[in-house]
Amino acid sequence: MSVIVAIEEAIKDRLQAEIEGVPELIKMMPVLDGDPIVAPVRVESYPSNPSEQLLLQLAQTGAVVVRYVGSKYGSKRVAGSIVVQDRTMSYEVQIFSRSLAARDSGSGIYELLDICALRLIGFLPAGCVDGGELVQDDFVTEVKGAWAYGIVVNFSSQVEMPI
Amino acid sequence: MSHVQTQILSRLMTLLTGLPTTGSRVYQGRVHPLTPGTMPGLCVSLGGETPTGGTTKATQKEVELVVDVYVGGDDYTVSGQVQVEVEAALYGDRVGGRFFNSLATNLIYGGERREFVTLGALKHTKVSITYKTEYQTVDGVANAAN
Repeated sequence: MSVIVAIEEAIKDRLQAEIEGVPELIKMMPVLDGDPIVAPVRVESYPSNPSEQLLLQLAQTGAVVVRYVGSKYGSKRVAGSIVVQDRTMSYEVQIFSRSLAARDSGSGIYELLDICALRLIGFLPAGCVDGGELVQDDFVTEVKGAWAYGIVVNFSSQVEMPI
Repeated sequence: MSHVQTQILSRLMTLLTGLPTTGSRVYQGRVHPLTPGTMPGLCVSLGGETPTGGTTKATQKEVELVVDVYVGGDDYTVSGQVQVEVEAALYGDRVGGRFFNSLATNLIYGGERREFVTLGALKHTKVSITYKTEYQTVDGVANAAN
């Protein structure tokens, strides 16, 4: 498994464990002609073929979607028989919902953003040398009442090769 | 035969390789890999050299030895232990009043500078220790200490 995928899986596992324990208030969503239900907020990888229809589906139940954004590399170091470069890997966690806040009686994006931030700050997946660092969160899109926000988190790792 | 400086550096590498805390994680030069697997570790290098006296046919020289200690995190305990081991190794090499395989006539502790480095992937503590060591060469023969 590539390092990129391994870290993505670790982030998903971390968030899934947290989402399962959030208060029902955050996960409640209205149902036509019925009592509100607890939305099964899902944590998954970013879809291979994103579409408006998929956005609507994800927002319907609430979803937390993780995707790899890219890496920035530091300067090369050569010492003894090792060559090393620092690698800052960025991941975006996108949150889909029909509600911005739980007070709107849906799976609230604001609360889920906070939960993701708190669970990822300092989180140290295998293969990283320093814990997660929050970079920014921002509005992504809104389509027919389906909202998406994203939070970007950096993880520090290294690429090391013997020479 | 290499320059006396180089011979001293080579002896320094030998003395500092295999210490209890840093083991084989010793690198000649100023560049440390800065990975979790190479800490705690050492970088060993030479600083500048100045003449300190001599005769009409020989020059007394003082060369600076730089030992950089690298330890993960904001550390005092491990780096302090490494400093103890480095100093013991260097002064333990004194034979007949001379140091470094009898190449040098004196060894003087020159101080340390400590910094916590947060740039880069791995936050770490770097302690730069300097020593000054004196040796003498006959003028025109820089590769043999006398």
